[in-house]
Amino acid sequence: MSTASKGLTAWLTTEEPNSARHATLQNIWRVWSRFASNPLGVAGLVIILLLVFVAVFVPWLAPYSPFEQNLRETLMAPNGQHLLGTDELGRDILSRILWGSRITLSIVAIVSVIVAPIGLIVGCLAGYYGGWLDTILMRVTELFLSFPSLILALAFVAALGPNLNNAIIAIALTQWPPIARLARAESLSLRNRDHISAVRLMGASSLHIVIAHIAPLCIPSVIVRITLNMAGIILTAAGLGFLGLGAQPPSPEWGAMVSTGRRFMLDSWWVGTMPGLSILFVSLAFNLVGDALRDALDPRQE
Amino acid sequence: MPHFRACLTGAAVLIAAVTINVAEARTPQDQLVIGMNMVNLTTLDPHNANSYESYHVIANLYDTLLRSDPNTPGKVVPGLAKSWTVLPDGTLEFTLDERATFQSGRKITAADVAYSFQRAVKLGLLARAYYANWGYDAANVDQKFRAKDDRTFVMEVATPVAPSLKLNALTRVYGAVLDREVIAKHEKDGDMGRGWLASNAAGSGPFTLNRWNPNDIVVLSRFDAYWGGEPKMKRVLVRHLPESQTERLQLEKGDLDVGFQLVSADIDGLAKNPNIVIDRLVGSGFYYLIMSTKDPEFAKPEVRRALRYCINYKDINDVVMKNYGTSATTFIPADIPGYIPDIGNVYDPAKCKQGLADAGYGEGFSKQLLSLNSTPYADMATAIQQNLAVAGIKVDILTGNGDQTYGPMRDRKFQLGVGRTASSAQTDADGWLRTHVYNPDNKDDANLSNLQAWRASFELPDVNKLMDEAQAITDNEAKRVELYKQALKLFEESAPPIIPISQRVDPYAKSARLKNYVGDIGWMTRWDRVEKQD
Repeated sequence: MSTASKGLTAWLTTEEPNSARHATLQNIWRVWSRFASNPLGVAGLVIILLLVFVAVFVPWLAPYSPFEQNLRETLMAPNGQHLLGTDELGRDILSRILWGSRITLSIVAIVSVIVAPIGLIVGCLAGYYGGWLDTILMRVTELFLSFPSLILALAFVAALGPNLNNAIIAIALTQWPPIARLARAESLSLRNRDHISAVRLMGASSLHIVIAHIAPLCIPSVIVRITLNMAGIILTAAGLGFLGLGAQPPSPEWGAMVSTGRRFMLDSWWVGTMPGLSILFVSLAFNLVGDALRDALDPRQE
Repeated sequence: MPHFRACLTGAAVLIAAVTINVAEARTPQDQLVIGMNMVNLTTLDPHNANSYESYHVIANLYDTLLRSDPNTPGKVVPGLAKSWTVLPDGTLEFTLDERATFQSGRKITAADVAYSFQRAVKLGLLARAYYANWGYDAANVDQKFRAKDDRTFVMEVATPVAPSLKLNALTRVYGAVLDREVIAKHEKDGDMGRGWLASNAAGSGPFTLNRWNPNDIVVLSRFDAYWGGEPKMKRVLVRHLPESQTERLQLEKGDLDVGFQLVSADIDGLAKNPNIVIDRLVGSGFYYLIMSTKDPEFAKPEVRRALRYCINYKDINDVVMKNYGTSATTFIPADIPGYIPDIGNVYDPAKCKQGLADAGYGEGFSKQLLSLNSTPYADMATAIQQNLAVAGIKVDILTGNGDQTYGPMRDRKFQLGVGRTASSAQTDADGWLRTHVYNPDNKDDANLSNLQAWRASFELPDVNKLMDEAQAITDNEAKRVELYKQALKLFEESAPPIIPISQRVDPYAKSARLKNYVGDIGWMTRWDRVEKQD
């Protein structure tokens, strides 16, 4: 086993890769080993993996239903039966937090999936083509950037009507502009590189160059940016939920749970604190991972 | 080094500030400090008052012809009128107290009273609906409300209405008497002082309006020459405290004497404090669940009847509505003449399921439920949602602010809604029933949005007829009550789309130092007799 793993490590770190695939794997390995040398980043990753695990297996993990009320057991302090206590309608807070991980994770995932391609395409097009296209796209981007993201999201949700889907759309609308800017900056620096010129001399169309040669090179920085944004996405979603504009009752959205818990802060601290801590840990984890990822993906680190 | 010293001084100041803060605070002996959420205090015009908060402030700036005895709800006692008689045709004659003067120093005459009531009708503010119900309109008030002589005010009959209904109503804020000469000075384009009175006062009450900054503070000063005797408190400060927990902490520390609109958890917390007394004002509104009969499912009486069995009223009242309401099964409560025992709400999940299955909805259906996003509405909605889920009815809750929630209900474009009928206490069956069961015109453009039955698009001509008949009876109380009973019974038998869940209660907390602070169920609580002891 140890010789095998040694062999694998040697294969992954050898100076001269045999094939393109070999080189890619070596690259991934280098990123990973840099990432793994950052203990905080690893801690964050563990939390996120735990969150994903919980979100996937929550039906088997949660001790109670997140919706089942028991009006005779309301506002119970944490105890053996209800590890994190019960809320004002007698629902088990632990179960609600566990189920809430699905909502949080799906918001993060959906927003990222919407935002990354939009930002990447807008940014790369603007950066590569320049000229009037750049002017138009960047002014639109700046228009979105000129509002604080929570305010903009609030306005969108208020206009669209409060529910989870609209909250996701609103958050996505506020999150793509920074990515577009980043991608533009990257493609600006890339478009006059030698290998791009080479591709152009070989007769590739501009669109082909953007899609096949510029966009892939922008991806690492976009990934870092998105990961760092995820904490912001979680906080915005929780903020909207707190204001009653996100997920609607009785869905166990963490922000909405904090909002209800606020009413009982003086007597029953656990109702608001537990979901609040969940938000804290998860957004912290995304920040740590984003940081570590930035270090790991930065080629200048070597 | 200077930096260090500055830091040290800063720290010392900070510590001192904290220590001072810890010391027991105390409101001054001759000032009453009240905390409330002032968002609903939008006007001080007595004829446009619409909230618990505005009633309380206005009640201390103005006098009404009659007052309700705070210790015996329903008992009418003299106010500006020292006596009154009911003539055989139902006309009311009031004799004014000769001591009564406005804050401007002028004697109150019957002409002032007539002017005030005419204004209430002519301006078309909220008070108008009140009088319109009795047949008064802009065309006839000049003849119907008149001064017989300086001291005698006459209120003639427009449509037959039980005199007791009128007498009771005149104790409320819409019966306030205004100083027409002061108003005349501030009148603009014949608006009868509409613009000016929204933020000023021209009354005869025990306090004068010193300052009002919306959503901040109201300062009332003692009117030393009050004709009813000098008020004990030199000043009343009403502070805007939208957060219940802030109010609670200030009450506990002694920074506040009275706190309104506390949430249930804080009421329970304060009840344990020996320095605080919790008092409850029973209101005449209901927390209710309403279905629109425009909806294809709720149009069916069988569905509505079944749905009424689905809700666990007891648990909701015991837990969710604790401190906000008391259990209500029908629209006339037990202490009001006209009450019928054993009709209305029953919780029976088996009957609920069976009823829905019989109606052809064994698999249930999906509906949207509108609710305010505040306590206790959202919790009530969530509890109802779970009750209905058991019966197979999938409910999506949509929470929002007042306009977002009540707007669609007023426009009759909704499926399910929870809400509260807001009115001060009523001691007569009429007031209890009318807003819930009466719907004289079921057309969309009739716009009777203050009537719940209209909102639900639910019209029962026979109930309307009974209500009209009952209101017109002037000489036979027993018969009148009997007609209301029949109306209620008929309404309940018709599978109504409005389900009362709790009867409104407005709890408030007051410091044990206060003497003679007696809350009035008509929200006309007077602060002039309040004293403090140590």
